[in-house]
Amino acid sequence: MQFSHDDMTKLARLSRLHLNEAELGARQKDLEQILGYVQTLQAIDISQTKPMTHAVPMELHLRADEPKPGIGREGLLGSAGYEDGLIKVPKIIE
Amino acid sequence: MKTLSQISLALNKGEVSSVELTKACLARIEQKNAELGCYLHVASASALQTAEQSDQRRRQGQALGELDGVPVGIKDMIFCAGMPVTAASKILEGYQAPYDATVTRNLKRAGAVILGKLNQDEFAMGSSGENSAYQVCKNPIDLTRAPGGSSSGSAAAVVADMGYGTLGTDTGGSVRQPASFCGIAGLKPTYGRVSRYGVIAYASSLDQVGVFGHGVKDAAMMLSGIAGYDERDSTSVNMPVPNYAGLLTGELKGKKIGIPKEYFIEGLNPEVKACVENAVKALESRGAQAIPLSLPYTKEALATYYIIATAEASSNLSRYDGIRYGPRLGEEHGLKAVYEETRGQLFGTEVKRRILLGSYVLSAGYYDAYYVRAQKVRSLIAQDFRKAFERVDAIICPTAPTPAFKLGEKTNNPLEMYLADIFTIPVNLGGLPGISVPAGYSKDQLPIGAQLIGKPFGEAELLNTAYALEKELNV
Repeated sequence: MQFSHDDMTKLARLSRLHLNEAELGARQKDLEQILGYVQTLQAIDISQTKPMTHAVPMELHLRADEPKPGIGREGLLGSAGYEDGLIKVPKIIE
Repeated sequence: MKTLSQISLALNKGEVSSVELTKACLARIEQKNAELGCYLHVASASALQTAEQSDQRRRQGQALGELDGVPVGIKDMIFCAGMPVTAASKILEGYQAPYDATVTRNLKRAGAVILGKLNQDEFAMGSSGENSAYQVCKNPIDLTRAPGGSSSGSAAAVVADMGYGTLGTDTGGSVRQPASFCGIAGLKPTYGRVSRYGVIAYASSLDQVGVFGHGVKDAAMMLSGIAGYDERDSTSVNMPVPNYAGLLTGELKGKKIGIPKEYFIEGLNPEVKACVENAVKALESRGAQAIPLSLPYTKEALATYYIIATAEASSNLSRYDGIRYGPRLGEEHGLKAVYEETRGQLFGTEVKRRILLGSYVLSAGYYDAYYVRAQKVRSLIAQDFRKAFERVDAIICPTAPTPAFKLGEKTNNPLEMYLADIFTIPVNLGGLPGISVPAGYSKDQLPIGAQLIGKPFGEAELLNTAYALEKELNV
């Protein structure tokens, strides 16, 4: 399993991670090693097997749609930088 | 050393007060935490206040139950309203939990005294505690060694008498492996047995809250304190919660215990092997029958896990974007820079490694080849267990391939670190309950755990098997 510098840059961008050159190089080696290891799965016959998406069989259960006391807007905003109940973000449109 | 069950009894008889116990725990934290790194946050004032309330209830004959007044600690993955919650990451530095996790609320309702938040590997990614962004947690038995991870502080705190029971989380072995390294009991319940509301998500199809105690009875009491259906977690299962400790008899007559040959591979540490073989004999001498069996897809579990867990992690951790939680970097360079710089600088190396891997296996062109394939192999691993449990009542195997390794020994090789979880990961993939029980010591006096695996929602029987083992071995 080989990664090019471009592959790594693209992957870092997809992951929304700013990585410097040294980190890109180090993570490239890590990924090559780990993906090399997981290649063992390619040899398993899965033609008759369904993917497992839940750990235990479960039915979807919905709770009654009734209002209950909650922590409210202030409580949830507590840790974000906010003003007038709105989260402050940098300019989005140039 | 006093165990949770002994403490609970002493409180009940009025031999000790919750305030006395809490003060003693806080004093030990004050003395030793700088060295051991068990706690990231200590809530002295609220703990003492809760302890006083508990003592008052007892004086009025209104004790809430077995956990009333018992000092406990909670892993930093889990919300405790008003306390910091960071998952040991710089990206959540300064963030305070706005509400209680259901497990926290359950412990509070049971009257337990919450001492504070326990150290861990960042976002529960690691097997040694060395990935904490704040402080390395050390194994109290040998300070040069890892306590295991990711629930490092949760295990170490119990050993260091900084809490009589603790909560951890277990996605691939993060409760059982540190329990083995620290010589205590650590239980991961069945997926769905315990609510994950208010628990920071790592890999949602695998994450489960688990418990630590000096012994099996302590773990049983902690589980009764937190388990149960929660309408706020759609993966929690609506089944009654028994008094697990009350069901411990140690009776094993006629029970069948499976010995999976794939866990006794060449290269397994001989001392670990000897301890587990001795544990099998102990179970037999209690009337159980040992049944050799095979779980053929065991060797595929580690690769399967590192695809599924990293894929889910890359998705779950996308919420840490510098906008809603924790510090924000790169604001002067615009919104995209906020995302990339905040995440790039404030996530630790292992977290970034897993996000990159997860993004890769989920990306266009690779999704079927990696992620869907891993989910299919997961089905095969779960099927192995289903077939095995048609023949046996429990399975026994090592918890970890070695006793506690040295701090720094594996930090430069991620794959070698991942191998520390090779025996615990299949249990998460199968969604099954598993417990690590102290089974002996290495010649260097390091604890070695044996892992028992049970049927889905068979915690009562699993704990009883573990209890029988503990009684017989008397480690």
